[in-house]
Amino acid sequence: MDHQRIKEAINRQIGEDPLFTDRDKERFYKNKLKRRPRFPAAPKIVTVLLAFIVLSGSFYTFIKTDWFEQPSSPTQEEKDPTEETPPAPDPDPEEPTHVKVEKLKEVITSIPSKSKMKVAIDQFKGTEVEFKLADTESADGKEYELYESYYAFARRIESGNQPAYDGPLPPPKEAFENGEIEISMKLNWVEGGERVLLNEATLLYLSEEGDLIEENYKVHERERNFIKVKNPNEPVVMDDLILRSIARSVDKEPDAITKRDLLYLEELTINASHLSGIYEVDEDIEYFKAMQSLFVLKLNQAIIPGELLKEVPYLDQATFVGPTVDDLSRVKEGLQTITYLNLINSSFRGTAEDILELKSLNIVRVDPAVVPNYEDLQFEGMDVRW
Amino acid sequence: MSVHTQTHYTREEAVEYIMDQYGESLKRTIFTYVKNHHTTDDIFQDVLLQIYRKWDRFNGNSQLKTWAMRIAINRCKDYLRSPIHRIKIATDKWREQKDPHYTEQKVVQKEQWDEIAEAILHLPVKYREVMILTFQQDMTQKQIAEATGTPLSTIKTRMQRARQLLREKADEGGIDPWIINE
Repeated sequence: MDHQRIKEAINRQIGEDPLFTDRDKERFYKNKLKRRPRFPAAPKIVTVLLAFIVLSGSFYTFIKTDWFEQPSSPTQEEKDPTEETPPAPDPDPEEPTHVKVEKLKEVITSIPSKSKMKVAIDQFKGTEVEFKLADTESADGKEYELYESYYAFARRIESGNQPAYDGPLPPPKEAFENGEIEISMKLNWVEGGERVLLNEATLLYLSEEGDLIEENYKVHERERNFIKVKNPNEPVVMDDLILRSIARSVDKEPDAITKRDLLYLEELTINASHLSGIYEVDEDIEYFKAMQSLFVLKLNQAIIPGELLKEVPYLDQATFVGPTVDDLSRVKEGLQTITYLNLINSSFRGTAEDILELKSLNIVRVDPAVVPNYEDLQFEGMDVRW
Repeated sequence: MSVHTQTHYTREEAVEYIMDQYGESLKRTIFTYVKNHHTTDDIFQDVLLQIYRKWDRFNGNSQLKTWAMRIAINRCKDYLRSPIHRIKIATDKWREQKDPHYTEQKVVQKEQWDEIAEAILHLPVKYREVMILTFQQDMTQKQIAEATGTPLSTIKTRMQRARQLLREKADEGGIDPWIINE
């Protein structure tokens, strides 16, 4: 391709005029000066925070009554031609909880606008129990606001309308058991400019067996469906080393770890290098089933057998350090979803065929000197790094 | 500036130098990721602040431009992963459908090279970046590998795949295939 003509054409697409001007410089020096005195400004920050709390309180009161009742912008979101229409739920007050939950999940995965979601919530006789501004972010010269809203769906009772749920959030298991609430739904929204987008949804309900179930869906992780855990508030009983490893990842005390923490755990590093010998993880399989967000696993002188690892559904990256994997045979069953494998500091002495048995793998870090036929990996399209 | 390290220049001097020497090319590269001038301005400011703060970590092992480019690319990728980016995409699509002028602009006849440039800007990010850094920033594949933190072999594969995608685009019509095969 003609390098110069493509360069000129790309530059035409970006813009004929210079993008970098003195205004960028001025803005930088202004920003730099503004951001520099971080700690001496602590009293001012406290004042600003107090002002923010007062203002956000007023804002909350204002928005709480207004959120779904009126369109938030003059752009008439209902008429948005690009919006996907969620399937119309057809709730029946007599139908079992799990059927209602499935219908709500169907609405959520259609990524509805807030007004469409409001229609679904009304159809299911849900009430809003809390609405708050959780965070703000600036980008693009605009302010984007991240909202959290909780809804309660109660069973219809003979004696008339059930009072709105006003207990703690997320609701405890007892609130479901004593009939105060049938389904709890938490939604996270991002609002900016003319759009409001659903970002995350969490459902809580009692199963037919009487277990509290938590299900979570993140819109930006579309390849992942709802993730689910049974009895999320139940404390986790595991070996001290693993509990401490999980605690480091989720920034909690080891004895405060619950099954909910396992559900949202994204990275886990187990470092047993201070122990003599290899530390073999042997825990309840249910805990591994709960680790549905676990994406990155690093094991230093520790090993989790394949039969446990295979219960972690979305594991993407694994690193082994120390004398734990000679030929991957003990772990390969649990590594079929990973795309990245780091064996550079491991005892791996296997073959390219062993590595090629990991069906999703794209990138492997391994010393070519210990894998004589490592070219086979490259031939199969694998990215080999060392 | 033959050797650019924190031992030779203060962070203020370094940022001033980067703005003067590479400001335009950094902003143009940022634009090819985010495709919006306001966002480009904001990200460029973030990049300058990061350069200012991280200057003492620059050890001179890579070229100054490559180092600054890496910071810019990482910041762009963070932005593309954010929910705010998704909200913008939705807004832009909505605007595109509502605004007749926007649509008119898109059907204006273009030169073949402009068609290619537009096709490049519509490639998925990982293929777009190798094309942009090669053609628009005149970077070698080794420099691209360094700036994007990607192995050289992967960059080579992505370049081949990017050309293949452009060829497929040409087959669909609109672009003369000889331009790409040349």
